[in-house]
Amino acid sequence: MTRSTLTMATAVAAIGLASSIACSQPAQADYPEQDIRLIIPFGPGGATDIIFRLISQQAEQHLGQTIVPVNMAGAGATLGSRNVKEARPDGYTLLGSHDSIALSQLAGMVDYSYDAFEPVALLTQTINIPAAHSDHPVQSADEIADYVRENPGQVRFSMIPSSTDHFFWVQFFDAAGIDMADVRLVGYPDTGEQVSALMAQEIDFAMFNLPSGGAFFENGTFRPLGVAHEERIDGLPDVPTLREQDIELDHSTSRGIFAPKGTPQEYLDTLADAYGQALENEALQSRIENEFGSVVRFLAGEEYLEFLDENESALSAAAENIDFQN
Amino acid sequence: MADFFLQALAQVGSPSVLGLIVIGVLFGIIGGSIPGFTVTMAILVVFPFTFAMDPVSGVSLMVGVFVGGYSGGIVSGVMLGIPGTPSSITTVYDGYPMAQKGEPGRALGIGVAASFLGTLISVAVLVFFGPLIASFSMNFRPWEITALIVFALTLVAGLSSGAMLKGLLAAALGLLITTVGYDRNSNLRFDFSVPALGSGFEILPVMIGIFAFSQLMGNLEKLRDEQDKAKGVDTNVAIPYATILRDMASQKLNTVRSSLIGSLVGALPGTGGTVANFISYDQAKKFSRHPERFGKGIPDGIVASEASNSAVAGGAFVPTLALGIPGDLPMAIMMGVLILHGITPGPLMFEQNPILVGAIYASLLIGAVIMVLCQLLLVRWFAKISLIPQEILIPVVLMLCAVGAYALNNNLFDIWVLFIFGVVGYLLWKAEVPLTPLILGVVLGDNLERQLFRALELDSNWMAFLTRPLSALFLALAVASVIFSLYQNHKIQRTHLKARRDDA
Repeated sequence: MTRSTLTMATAVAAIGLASSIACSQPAQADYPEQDIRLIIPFGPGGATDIIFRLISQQAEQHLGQTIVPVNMAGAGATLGSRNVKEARPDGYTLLGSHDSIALSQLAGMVDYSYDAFEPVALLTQTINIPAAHSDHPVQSADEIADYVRENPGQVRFSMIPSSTDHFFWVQFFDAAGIDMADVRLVGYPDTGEQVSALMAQEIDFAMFNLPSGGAFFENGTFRPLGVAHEERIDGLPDVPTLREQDIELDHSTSRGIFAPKGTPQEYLDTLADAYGQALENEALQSRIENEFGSVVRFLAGEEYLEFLDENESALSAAAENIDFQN
Repeated sequence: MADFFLQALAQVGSPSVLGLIVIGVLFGIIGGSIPGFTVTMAILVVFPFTFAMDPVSGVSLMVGVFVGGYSGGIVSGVMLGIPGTPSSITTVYDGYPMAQKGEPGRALGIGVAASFLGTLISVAVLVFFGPLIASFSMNFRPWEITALIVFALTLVAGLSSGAMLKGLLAAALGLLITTVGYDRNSNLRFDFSVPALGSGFEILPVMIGIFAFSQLMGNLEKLRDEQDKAKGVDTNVAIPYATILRDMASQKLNTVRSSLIGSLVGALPGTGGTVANFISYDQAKKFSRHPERFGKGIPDGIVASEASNSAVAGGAFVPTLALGIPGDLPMAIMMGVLILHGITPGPLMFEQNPILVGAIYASLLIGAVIMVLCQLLLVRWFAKISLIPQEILIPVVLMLCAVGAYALNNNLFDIWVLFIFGVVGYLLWKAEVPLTPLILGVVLGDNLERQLFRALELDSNWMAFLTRPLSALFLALAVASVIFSLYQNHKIQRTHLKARRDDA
């Protein structure tokens, strides 16, 4: 049976609505007894969507129940998060999201943050990378501050309003000693449009990561200016970290699983175990690292709570410098 | 070039991959035929199945869904008078009247043939000029896109079927609808403290509501009037192949023009299919020697609409493959499939994965052929829809619309949007307000606002719109388009008057 016939068989079986039969060890307390819905508050096909789908596929096998990813995009990712917040805390509705939970509150879109959920586990972190067009005079992150000083009010940074990159730039300006009043932030609806804007050089700088910018770094269209991580990343071994360039900033998009407030602790533990075991799969690990320029970082329970607290206080500090009502 | 294409063809030509394309095409056609289920929905359902496949199989399946989905809109447009997707609104204009006149088989057949040719021409454009068009499309910055949208809005005049002032009002109402919800800087507008309004109104439920309700309620009213009469039209559900071939032979220029408009405008990220479709229908009408017959069931209208909206299938791949920028949601999911297999779409794909690029081209071509075969087999069943009594058909179609609206975002609120706009659409229809301009406003409003503001954020000088050549060109076209529509309207009215005087 060749690989393609196998594929064919899989497709036919799947389209014939075959249920996935997973080999599982018995879970405690009879949970889970039915399919689990994982609400992803972003559109299909993006990095967030795919990462959660991939890991959930592995986690299913340890849970013995299917995890059904449901995309609920809209209202800056708050449509989906609100839906989970108001769902029954029975462990059958989960949220797969990232920093945007806190960002939506800081931007004044909603009145709840991480504390409205039971955090289950942190799964991955995608490292952020500031970039410029390769024809741009600035060749590394530590030159940005001088460039802004030479051209006050002229330098254009692209961002998605009140999204991770908006906060990244504000934190970056703070760390690099750039005055917010001297730069122009230009809003775009998504990363794809920022790519084309940077190609057309109608903006100077944008924040990408490996999934969104990797191909352009490789073919020399864009230049990565620095890596916002403690150490250099495998995908870009020649690019120094921001700390190497004396800019004290680590910045990543941290994706994790959340459950509605009041979900029983033992359910949370069962879920965290399943996701933890899923992330131990080496094939999955290498895909996350190589294809998504992300690092696997599993934190559950108290550790994850601490992580979220720190994350939120860093973002809140940045939010003080942002005028969201312009 | 030819070498990798042949290798790709060998891979795509294997029975299992061909089987997947057939499944994909069928799935796409069914998805596209159900009002409110678009190509996006069909793609979403198939997407998880590609996880376990090798790249060529996964991509071929998705391309199959694509090609099928873009052609599926014909069915609900022609048989029910309800456009299943925003880019098949103009298919209804001539397809539905033709079916009503007792020729549903002919209308569907012309639509399928035009879809097929549109797909083929767009694939040719993609293969030979893809990178060229992609680099040219980089010239479309916020100023140009704003001007293009303004040009598209002027088409309202030509689509208002004589009620110019009402058409303009409807378009303005459509633009107003898009201002509900969070704006580009997360400021909330017109939400009346209903949290659900935060994300604004989804285009699809609004559109399906407005068109489906007015159409179905209209049918109900007719039912009441015709209760005692026997069925007026003798419906011929067979496919008249000879007639269709004759029809297509007389539409050579129209087919090529519409397909090219579809491929080129469809290649602009974010502007996409709907605009291409309206421009193409409008051009066909302007170039026509008998514009007054448009909207009464002539082949020209069906060809212009279907050739252009299927050509978008190839056009949309241009920015995705050449630049790595997806132009619309189906393309974003398509990119997701590629990324999932460790392939980053973009200029490197041609060097690193030429076989896969070839496989995409090959599946588009094979998909187009399979689409025609499937459609011709299915058309005889689809045409029978016209034999179903209205009192059974209407509730079923309404239910499907509601399911489609819900499935879009798994959001119950969207069903309410469907019903509220259904009532609005019905009332507007009773007041003889043309509905297409309203939808045009809804489709373009968001993008117009974003691009206009971004243009001014980048350069606060309004003159940039006139000093940039492309943007000035579109604005000039917009002015010309308005003047020409007024002239054509005037001429049609004069011939009417003259005809009346001659009769007297």
